[in-house]
Amino acid sequence: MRKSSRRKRRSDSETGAVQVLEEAFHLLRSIDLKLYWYFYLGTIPFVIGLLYFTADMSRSGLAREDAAFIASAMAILYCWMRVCQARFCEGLWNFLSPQDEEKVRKRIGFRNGAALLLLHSIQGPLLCIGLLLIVPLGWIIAARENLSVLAFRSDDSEGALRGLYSKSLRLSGYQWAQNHGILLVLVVIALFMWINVIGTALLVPGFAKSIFGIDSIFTLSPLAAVLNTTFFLGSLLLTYLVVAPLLKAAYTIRCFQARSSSTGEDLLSRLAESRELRRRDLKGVVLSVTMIAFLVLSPGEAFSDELTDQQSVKLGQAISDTLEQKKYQWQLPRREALEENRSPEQSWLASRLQEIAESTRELVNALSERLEEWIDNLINNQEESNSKDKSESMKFFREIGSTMSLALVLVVLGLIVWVFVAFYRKHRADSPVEAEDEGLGGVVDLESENIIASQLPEDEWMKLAKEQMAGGDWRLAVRALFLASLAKLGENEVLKIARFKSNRDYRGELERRMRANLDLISAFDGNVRQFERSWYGTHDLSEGEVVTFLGNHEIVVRESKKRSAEGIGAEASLLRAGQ
Amino acid sequence: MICASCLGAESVVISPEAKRGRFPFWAILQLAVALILCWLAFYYTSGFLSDLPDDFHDGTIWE
Repeated sequence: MRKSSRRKRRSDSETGAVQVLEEAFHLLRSIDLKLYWYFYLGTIPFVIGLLYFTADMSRSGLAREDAAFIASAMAILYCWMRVCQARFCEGLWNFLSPQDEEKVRKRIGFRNGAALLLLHSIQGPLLCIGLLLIVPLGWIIAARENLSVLAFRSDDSEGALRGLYSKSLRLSGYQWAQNHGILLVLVVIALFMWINVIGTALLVPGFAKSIFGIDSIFTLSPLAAVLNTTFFLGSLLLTYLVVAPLLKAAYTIRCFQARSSSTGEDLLSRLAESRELRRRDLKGVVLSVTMIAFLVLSPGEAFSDELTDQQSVKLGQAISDTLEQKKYQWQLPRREALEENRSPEQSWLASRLQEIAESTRELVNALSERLEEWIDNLINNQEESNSKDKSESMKFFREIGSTMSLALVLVVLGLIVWVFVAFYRKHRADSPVEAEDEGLGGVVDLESENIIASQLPEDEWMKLAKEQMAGGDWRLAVRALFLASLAKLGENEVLKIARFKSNRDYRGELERRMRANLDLISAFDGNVRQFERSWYGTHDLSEGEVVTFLGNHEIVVRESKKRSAEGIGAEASLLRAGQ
Repeated sequence: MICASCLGAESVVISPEAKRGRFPFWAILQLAVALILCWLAFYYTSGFLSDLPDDFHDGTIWE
C-alpha cells in the first residue's frame, strides 16, 4: 500500500514524455526564426560533408590518399555543428527563461566551447558501447544531449569541463522513465519520417515522369536507386535534419524542468513570457527571405563562372581535366589506382596530414601485429600444455583473437570497472559521516561541522569550553558551551539529540516539554541567539557576552536537573502505586 | 547550514571574471584534443568504409 502510494505520488510529480514532446513542439513553433539559422548553419554543412565523405570513401579510387585531408575537414565541420547546436539550445533556454538571458550572456566563452567539443569527441565511442549493450543507451543519449543544452549555461565556478560533465551526467538521471519515453516516441517519429522521405524520393520522380516525361534513376531502376548506401545515408540524414530540433528542444525542456524543480525558474519565466511576446518582431522573416534569395541566386553564379573557365581552355585539356575531377574518380578501379602510386599535387597541409595518417596507421598496424602475435603464442603454449579436452574452451579465445574484438572487450571491461568505481565513490560520498558520532572521548575538532552534542558528556564539553576561554577563542568557547547545554538536556532526557535536528527544532521540543519552566526556555533562547550570531554570522563576541552565555548555561543545567529529579520521583511514585 | 568560517573559506574561489583574464591554456588543449579525437574517428571510419566491398555499397550484395 505504502509502495503503491509512493509510486502514485512520484508519477503525479513527474511530467510525462508525451507532455514534454508537446511542449517541445510548441517551443519550436514559438521561437524566433533566427534560432533555426544557428541550427541549420551548423548542421547542414556537416550533413552534406558527411554524405560526401561517405560516398567518396566508399567509391573513390583515391579514397586512401584523400582520407587524411577529408577527415580533418569533417572534424572541423563536426565541431562547428556542435557549437551551433549548443547555441540553438541556448536560444531555446533563453526563450523558456528570458530573465536568465542577461545573466548568462557574459559567461559564454571559449572555455565552454572547448569543454563541449572535448566531451562530444569522447561521446562517440560511448555511444557505440551504448548501442552494443542497449541498457545504458538512454542515459548516454541524455548525457550527450544535455552537453549541448548546458554548454553555454555552466558557470566557471567548478571549471568549465568538470562542471559541464558533472551537470550533464547528473541531469541524465533525472526522471529516467520520462527520458526513455521521449526516446521511444522520437524513434517512432523518426521511423515514420524516414519512410516519408523514402516515399517522397520515389513518388516525386514518378510524378515528374508521368506529368513532364522526365526520366530519372528512380523511374528507370527504383531498386538500384534505393538499395545503396549513399541513398540510405542520405535519407537518414534528411530525417535527422527534421527530427534533431525536436530532440534538442525536448532535452532543453527536460534540463529546464530539472533546474526549475529547485529554483522555481519556470514560474518566473511564465511571468516574463508575456513581456517577451510583445518584443518579438519580424527580423526572422527578413533573414529567411535573405536565405532563400541566396540559395536561389548562388548556383547560377557558380554555373556561369564554371562556363567561362571551361571556355577559356582547349577541348583536349578540358577533357583530361574533367576526368581528373573528383566526381569521376569512382569510375577508376580502387586497387589499381592505388598501385599506380601517382603523386597528385597536394598542398603543404594535405601532405603533412597524409604523413601523420601514414605514420599513425603504421603504428597501429605494428601494435596490432604484436598483439596478435602475443595472443597466438599464448594460445599455442596453452594448447601444448593442456590436454585435448581443453581445446574446445580455447576455441573461444581463438575466435575472439582478432585485435579489434579484443580491444572491444577491453574497452567494455574498462567501462564496467569505471562505472563500478564511480558508483562506489558516489556511494561513499553520499553516506553520512557517522564515525565521529561514535567517538566518545576521542579528539573533537570544535571547528568541524560533523560533531554532535551527544558525542561527549556535558563535563567534557565544559572542559573544552574552558580550554578555548583560556586561549581567548570566544567563538569556539561558545560553541563548546552550547553543545554542553544540549548534552546536559539530552542526558536529563529533556531533549532527544539527533543530527538532523536544527536549533529551531530543539527550541520547539523544549517549549513542548518544559512549557511551564520559563527560566529554562528564556536561558536556552538567549544562548541559541548568541551562538547563531557568532557561529553562523560575523558577530565578534566579547568576554562579557561569554560570561552571560555561561550564566545561561548554568540555568539550563540547574533547571534540567530539576526536571530529571521530578521525572525520577514520578516514576518512583508510579511504581509504588503499582505495587 | 554552514558556519561563517567554513562559508568564508568556501567563498575564496577565483571569480569567473578573474579566470577570463587568464590565458586559456587548458581550453586550447581541450580543443586540440577534441579535434585530434574527431580527426582520428573520421580517419578510421574512412578506412573502414574503403575496406568494405563495392557490392555492399552498390546494394548488389543483397540481390
